[in-house]
Amino acid sequence: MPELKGTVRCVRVGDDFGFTTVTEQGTNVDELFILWWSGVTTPADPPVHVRIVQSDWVSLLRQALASGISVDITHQANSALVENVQLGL
Amino acid sequence: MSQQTIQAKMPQVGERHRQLPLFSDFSYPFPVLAAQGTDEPGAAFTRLRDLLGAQREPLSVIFRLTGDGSGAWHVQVGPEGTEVSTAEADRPDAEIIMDTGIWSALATGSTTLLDAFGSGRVRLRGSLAAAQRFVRLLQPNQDA
Repeated sequence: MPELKGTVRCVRVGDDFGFTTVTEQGTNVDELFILWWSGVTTPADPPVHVRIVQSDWVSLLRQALASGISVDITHQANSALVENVQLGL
Repeated sequence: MSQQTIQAKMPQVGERHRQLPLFSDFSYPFPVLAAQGTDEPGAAFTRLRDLLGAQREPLSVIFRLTGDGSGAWHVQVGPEGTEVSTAEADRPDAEIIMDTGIWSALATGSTTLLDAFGSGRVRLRGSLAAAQRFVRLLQPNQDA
């Protein structure tokens, strides 16, 4: 699965969606990613463990945004859907 | 994958989300750029060039298509007209990445960029504002 390493530009969270924009390291090109989008990428009422993961992703991205630490975003090919978020290293 | 299969598998973004300023520009279908069943993506870009014509503000968008008939099409809009080339762009304002099947669905007006993006079949890179301006140029009743 493709990975993108970069710095977090913004995190946008609504009552049923979460997005982030990351500036790719090396190219300085921004990319918009979907963390979740209820009713579109996830069920409208996802199970608790999915909510916990979503919350964890926001925590990691917020920490990265505040501290300038780079993140690795794993996503599917040709897709803005985030598979996982790594903070550091 | 056929366009019907793509559409059947593609969840629709809800009306409330379509009205978000972030996404509203992407919620309209493209004007028809290709007939149903057209497999060659290049012809749709020629139609796109003709539709865009000359625009006051320059804009550079690259469409990177993967799969059958893959390639990169660089659309450069400007006061002298619109040019489409398959040359790599050094630093486009926006980059839109998708499978050729999704491009066909967009080019025939059978899906929207927002639905394709929301269903995880499109990547948007570069300036989101530039991508928004580009799709506004394709809507005859909207100011770019």
